[in-house]
Amino acid sequence: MSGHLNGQDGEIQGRDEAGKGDDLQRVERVASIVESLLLVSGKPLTEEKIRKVLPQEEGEAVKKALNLLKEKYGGDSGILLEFVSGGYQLRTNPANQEYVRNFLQTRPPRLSRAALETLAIVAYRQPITRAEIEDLRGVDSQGAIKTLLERKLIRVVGKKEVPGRPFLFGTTKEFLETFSLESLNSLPSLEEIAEMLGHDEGEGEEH
Amino acid sequence: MLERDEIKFSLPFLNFEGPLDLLLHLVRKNKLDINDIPISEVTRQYLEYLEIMRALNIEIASEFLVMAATLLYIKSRSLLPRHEEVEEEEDPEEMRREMSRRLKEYEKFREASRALSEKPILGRDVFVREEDSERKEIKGTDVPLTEASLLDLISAFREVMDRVGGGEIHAVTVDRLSIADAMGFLIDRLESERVIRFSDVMEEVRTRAEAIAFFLAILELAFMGRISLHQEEPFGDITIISREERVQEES
Repeated sequence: MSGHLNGQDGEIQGRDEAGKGDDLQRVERVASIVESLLLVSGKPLTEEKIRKVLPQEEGEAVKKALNLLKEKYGGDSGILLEFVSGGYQLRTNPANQEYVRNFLQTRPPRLSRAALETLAIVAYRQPITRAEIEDLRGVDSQGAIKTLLERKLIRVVGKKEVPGRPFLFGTTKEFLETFSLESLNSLPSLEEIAEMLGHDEGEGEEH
Repeated sequence: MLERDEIKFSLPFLNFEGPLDLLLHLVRKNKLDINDIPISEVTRQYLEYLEIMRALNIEIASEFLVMAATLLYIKSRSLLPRHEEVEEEEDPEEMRREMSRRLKEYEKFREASRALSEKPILGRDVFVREEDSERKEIKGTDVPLTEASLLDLISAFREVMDRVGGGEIHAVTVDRLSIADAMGFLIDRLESERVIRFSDVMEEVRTRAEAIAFFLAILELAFMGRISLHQEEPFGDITIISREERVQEES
């Protein structure tokens, strides 16, 4: 595949100017390949996977190619290149949601308030048991947990080493993908939220 | 969908997620200090809401009643002079502080869930190309393989048909080997061997009916996702790989 990439501009360029043009061409070629990969890969495509397809390319060229594609698929474009769940993914522009939904004839996914609250708690406090979730919410949360498990937004990540060995829950990749998050770190911090809500600072948080 | 109005309290007394939700609503509605909750006032209003819920025949979860009891307890205790000697009883001041802490904690997550619902949500605001579930990578096999198409399978089948001889048998015979039997046979073999070859399977075939039963069984298993079919080279033998182990690993 290496030959393929270099084949088009195989001659050695004598001048710096020409060398730069060469670089650009190369990046454009990589961008073209990555663009194809993005189309056929439904799931977010990691840089690592891209590098596997293009082993001879330097990381720098791949990064430049991705930047080129981000420009192309940005702004008002109907397709946007987004970084979610640790990888790159082509997604429709939210501005067109109504039309896409009508076209696909799908109903938007529904989550009850109970499920959303439970999901937020799991996202911030994982790994966490059902009892701990219910303590925070002050209500039975079994139904919400069941829904979230079925929707693959949370999963069992282990068992807590306490009497009864209850399940510990954590969020999934699907969670990041569903809520368009790069990683768990892209959630606003609880401190930020507390500040926004006007809670006093320095309240003894356990985490 | 995570609708905005699901988050808002358009019908306050119908829509509380729990006692903390209701308490928080009272604190915020009355612009009370969440760090210094006036228990008497909050308790009065809390009980009023429960009364309305009762009047409207709304089922009141037991958690609401437990909270009502707790509020009443704090209120009554704070009205009474303190008995130093009663040590095992909880300090009402401490309970009030604990209440503040829980409310603040809960409010943060309530807010966090609201923020989540405003994100561009897959299937609501944004859409992606649906993944082709048929085309999954096979791990854990050391044979270099490309996936076999239905056409490859049919041509391999034709070879077998040629071998067992076609078109000569006209007598109606009872189908001794059903598709289900063939599937069972294949599953048994895959359980012990994990990888089997199409040619090996067809080796044992003696009649047209059996060949057809096996062919359909293979198609059925592939459709169910129990097996995947691979081919090392064009017109080469077809390899049948059990997917059972992979499914178990993933779940």
